Formats: sequence, structure tokens, C-alpha cells
Amino acid sequence: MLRILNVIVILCMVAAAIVVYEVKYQSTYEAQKAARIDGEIRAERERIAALKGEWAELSAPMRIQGLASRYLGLKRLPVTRIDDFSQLPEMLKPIGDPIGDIIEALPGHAGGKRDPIGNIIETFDARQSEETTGSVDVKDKENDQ
Amino acid sequence: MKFPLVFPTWLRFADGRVSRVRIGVIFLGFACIYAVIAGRLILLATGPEIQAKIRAVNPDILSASRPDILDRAGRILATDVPSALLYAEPKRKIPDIDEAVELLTVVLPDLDAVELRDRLSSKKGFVRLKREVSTQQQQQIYRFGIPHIGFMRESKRLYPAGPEAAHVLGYVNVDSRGTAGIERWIDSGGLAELHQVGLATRRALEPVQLSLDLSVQHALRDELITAKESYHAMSTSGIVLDVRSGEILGMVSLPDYDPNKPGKSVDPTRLNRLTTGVYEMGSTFKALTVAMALDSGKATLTSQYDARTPLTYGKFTISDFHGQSRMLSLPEVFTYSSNIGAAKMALSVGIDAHRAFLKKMGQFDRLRTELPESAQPLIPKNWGEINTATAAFGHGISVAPLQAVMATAALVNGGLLIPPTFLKRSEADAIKLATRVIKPETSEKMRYLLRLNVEQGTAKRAEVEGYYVGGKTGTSEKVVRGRYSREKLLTVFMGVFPCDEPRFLVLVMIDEPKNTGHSTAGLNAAPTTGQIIARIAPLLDVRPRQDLPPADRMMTVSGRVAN
Repeated sequence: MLRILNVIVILCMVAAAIVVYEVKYQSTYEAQKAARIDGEIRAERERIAALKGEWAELSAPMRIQGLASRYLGLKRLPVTRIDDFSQLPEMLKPIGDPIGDIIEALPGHAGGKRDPIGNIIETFDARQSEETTGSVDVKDKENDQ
Repeated sequence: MKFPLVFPTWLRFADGRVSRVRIGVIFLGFACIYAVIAGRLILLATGPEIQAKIRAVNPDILSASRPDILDRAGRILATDVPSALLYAEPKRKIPDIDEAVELLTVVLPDLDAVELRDRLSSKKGFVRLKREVSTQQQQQIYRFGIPHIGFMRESKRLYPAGPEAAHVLGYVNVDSRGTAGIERWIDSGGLAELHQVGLATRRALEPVQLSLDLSVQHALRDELITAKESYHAMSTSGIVLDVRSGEILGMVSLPDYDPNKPGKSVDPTRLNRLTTGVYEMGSTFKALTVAMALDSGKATLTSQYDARTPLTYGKFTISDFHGQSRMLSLPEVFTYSSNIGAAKMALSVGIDAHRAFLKKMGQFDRLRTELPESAQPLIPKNWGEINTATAAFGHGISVAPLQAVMATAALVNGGLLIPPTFLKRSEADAIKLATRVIKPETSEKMRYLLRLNVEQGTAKRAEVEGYYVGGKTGTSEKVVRGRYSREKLLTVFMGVFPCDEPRFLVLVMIDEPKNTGHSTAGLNAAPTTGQIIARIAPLLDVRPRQDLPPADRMMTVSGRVAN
């Protein structure tokens, strides 16, 4: 009984030793791998930090303004140019087809008007009055009224 | 059972037989010990302390790392970038010093050959030769193969925007310790201790987000540079403050310095005038006087003040710059910037009430912000009638401009005195810190008066169409050798926009403008403020409006502002 137990214990010990050896070896390998990856991560982080810093330097407003004033010839936006969409005038209506209108207005044409030339003038008048685009100054509007 | 030799006598009975029970007991004993060891191992491997220790020996620790500093939109104002430090170990005998010096100076031409030779011939264990060696230079030096010379990685503090926010950010010294500005504030929060324990890993350092807006800061600085040049001023400075949250969106004091090369920062002319300087804020203080008079109930918008004759105190005379020499109503006192009127107004409220009001507005105490630099206001020791009379128009009392900005913001934001901050803060948090100093109705009247001053008074040139700017000018003579100087002026403008529902306050201060034709605030500080507002308002998402009522109609239409 005791002898069997002894044999089993010895076998267990040998097995344990083998397992421990294996585990230790594995763990050393894994630790090396982890250290390498850590190093890579650190290097990457440092590169990211360097690139971020560089980007911030390149996109600094002072630099951009310097470049813009030298190469783009842009001017400062006057406050009066900023406006709401609600202030925009209605979109222009298409002029349509004046010749087609004439034909349509010819006597005998179904539903046509009697005065083709008058039609054209009307279309043009309508267009003239809508010529103003962009933001309309309030004062001007008031003067008109 | 006979085991003649294997078992010692204490495991045997008297007749030589082995005792199974005793062997069993020993088995059990060993089993217990191993179980305990195994259990402890498991605990150690999974417990939290061990994980902390694993992290502590992580090579990720940068001995000198600092948190990034961001602006309110997350743009980088200060960050750590890796750089290489070239060092040598002269103690370990560099074989050919001459050769080493020659080779190194070829790659790094800005190294001083004589000094380098001295350092390499010394007996020290470690000498720093050069910081911030580029990667290419590193490669070249590696190729020379000079013994006992190497590179160490270190982090370098980079301020990508250069001098733009210098006075707010401050800078760090060679050991990456913050020595001024927000950098120093960060260190006071225990970062130095973290470094000592060695726990300041890059990941552990949360970025610090400031209330500054880099675009606003840039626009402000750009306009102030223009103003400094066109008025030949000794210095120009400015603040943009969110009056509802007390956040400082921009702060510039010119001349400034580049925090990447902080050597110049010690020059006293480059100090931050807005927090470390104290000035007589001149007529901008009249806003406080008027608010006090209106809030106390001793005056209304229709009160009259006699500005016909100057006030005299001994040999000291108070007279008006824009003299009208007649009875002035309260709004006229404000828009003509009448010193006599303001003095009489303050006297009508009383000396003690005036002192108490200025105290309540935070003008008597040192204003502390995150910035370590601050200045104690200069207050006359024995406060008498003459002190009230002069303080009413901002003379005889010197405060830090930021302090005056805080008080003026309280006059227009509905009456809440909010301590200004350089860190991002929500309006709700600001209200928790705020103290009510004047009634909302008084604040509304102040908005009206400030707007009226731009429409009809001394501040006409601050107007920006569509933004409903309001403001108060202030021109004070600087004290030179104990007396007020006629030539050396300090002009100040406090601009508020949009005045019916103020969101931002812009302070512009011009120190010693030399352009003779434009010496008063209405002619230099006011138009500069207008320029700044025109530029920053679109950045701050304030839309120009077209249906703005004139100031006189404001009091009747703006009932909604009262809350």
C-alpha cells in the first residue's frame, strides 16, 4: 500500500517538475513577447505624441494666418457679410421660353393669351425686379417702402 | 510490517513496528503546509496589490511626463514630445577625446568645442552634452562608434502655438517642473509627489482642459499686436470673458514671450499685466459707481447731478475731461464720463456704503485664480470723503484688470459675481460659486447705459454693426514720481456684447499710447475692442442681427431679459 503510494507520489513529482519547467519556459517566452510588444506600444505612443505635437504646430493659428496672408490673398470677412438663410431673397424663377410663349399665345392656340409681345415684356420686367441677390441691407429695404 | 532502517525510532512502537497513525499525522501536516503555500500563491497572483506593482515597474513610466494642456475645443496647447539627450560618461575614460570632440562638432555644429572638451575630460560619471538631438543626428553619431557616449530618451515640453497663450500656460524648467502659469498650478496639484513615487505614467495623467479658445486667443493677440504698433504703445493687453460662466476665453498681455524658450519671461516688461499688475482703471469704475447708486435706490435713471463747478479737496481738484458745465442726468454722467457727476453720485450713497460695495465686488481683496501669479490691490489706508470721490471714477484705487473685469461682468450678467477661471466650467457650476451683488433690474439698467454709451457717448468707435456692443471707456493718467503725468496715459475699454443679453466681455488696456492724436480710450482702446469683437463674435457663434432697437427702446422692449 505504502509502496504504491510512494511510486504514485514520485511519478506525480516528476510530472509536476516537467509541467513547472514547461510553464516557466513558456512564461519567460511570453514575458519576452510582452516586453517586446510593450516596447513597440511605447515607441508607437511616442510617435503619436510627436506627430500630434507636430500637427498642432503646423495647424497653429499664427502659422496658418501667416501662410494665408502670404499665399491666398484672402481678406477679413466683414461682419455685414454674415447673414441668415431667412434673409436670402426668393430663388429666381426660370425665364421660361419666350418663343414658345409666342406660339402658345398665337390666336387659335388653345388657352393662349392675346398679347405675345406683352408677355415677353412682362417676363423681363419680372426678372428685372428680382435682380438683387445676396443679403439686402435693412436700411435699403426701408427706403424702398 | 518491518522496515528496518527507513523509519526513525520515533515513528516506531516500542517493539520496532512502524506506527501508521504517526506517519498519517505527518502526511497530513505536510499536506496542510502545501495547501497554505498554494493558496497564498493564488491570492498573491490575483490580488490587486500585485497588479499595482506590475504596473509600477512598467517601462512606460516617463520620469518627467506631464499632462497635456488642451483648449476648450480640445486643441493642444502644451504636450510632451519625445526627444533624445546626448550624454557621456567621462569617468569611464573616453580613449580619444580630440577625435570625439571633432566628430561631435561636425554633426552638432552648435556645440562649443572648448566646452565640450572640458566636459569630456572631466571626472564626472554623467554629463549632459546636448538636448533635442534629431533622429538623423543620432544615426550619424551612432555610426562614429565613440565609446561611452550615448542617448537617453527624455520628454520635452512643446507649446505648439508658440507665444499665443504664453502668460496663461506659463512654462517648465529643465527638470520639467512647472515654474509659472497653469504649468505651475498642475504641479501644485500633487504631480511632483506622483513623480517621486514613480507613478506618473503617461496614461495616468489626464489632460487638463482650459477655458481658453485658441482661435479667440489668436484673434485677440493679433488685434492687440496691431493696436500696439499703431498707437506706439508700451504694452497692450486684453481679456475675453464669458460673463455667464466666468470662463476666460482669451487673455493676452503684450509684450509676451515664447514658452518654448522661456528665457525672456523674466524680463519685467513681459509680465502678465492683467493678473500681476495693478492699475487705476479710470472711468471704467464709473460703471460700478452708477450700479451702486442705482442698486441702493438712492438714484434712478432720471436723477440729476450738478456738474457745473469742479469739486475741490484742499489743493486737489476734480474736474471733467469732456466738461459740460451744467446739470447732468445719470445717463449723461455716464455717457459724458463726468468725474464730478460720478464723485457726487458716490458721495450721495455714502462713504461706508461705497467701501462696502467695492468690497462686495471683490475690489479690495487679492483675486486668486488658477494662475499662481496674483497681485494685491492698492487701497488707501484711511478711506475718507476724497477717496470715495476719486474711487468713483477709478482713481486712487489700483486693482488687477482681471478683478475689474470680474466686477463689470457681474454688472451685466444679471448681478452675479462669478470668480473667473482658466479651466473649462459649465454655467451651472458657475452659478453655484456665484454671489448675488446687485439686483437683476439694476443689471438691466447697466446694460442700457453701456449700450447708450456706445450709441451716444464716449464709446462710439467700439460699435460693430449687428452685435449690439455696449461699453465704457476709461483713461487714467499714470503716476510718475508721485504725481499724475499728462503724457503717460493708461486707456481701458470694457466692451460687452450683445448688450441686450450679454454673453461676452472684452477688456482692452493700452499702456502709454504715444500717438498724440489718439490718446484717450475712446480713440484707441474702443476701436480696438470693436475690431476684436468683429473678429471673435463669429468664432463664438454670436450672429449679427439686423432688427436691433436703439438703446432708448431697450428698456421698454427687453422685459424678458430680467430673469
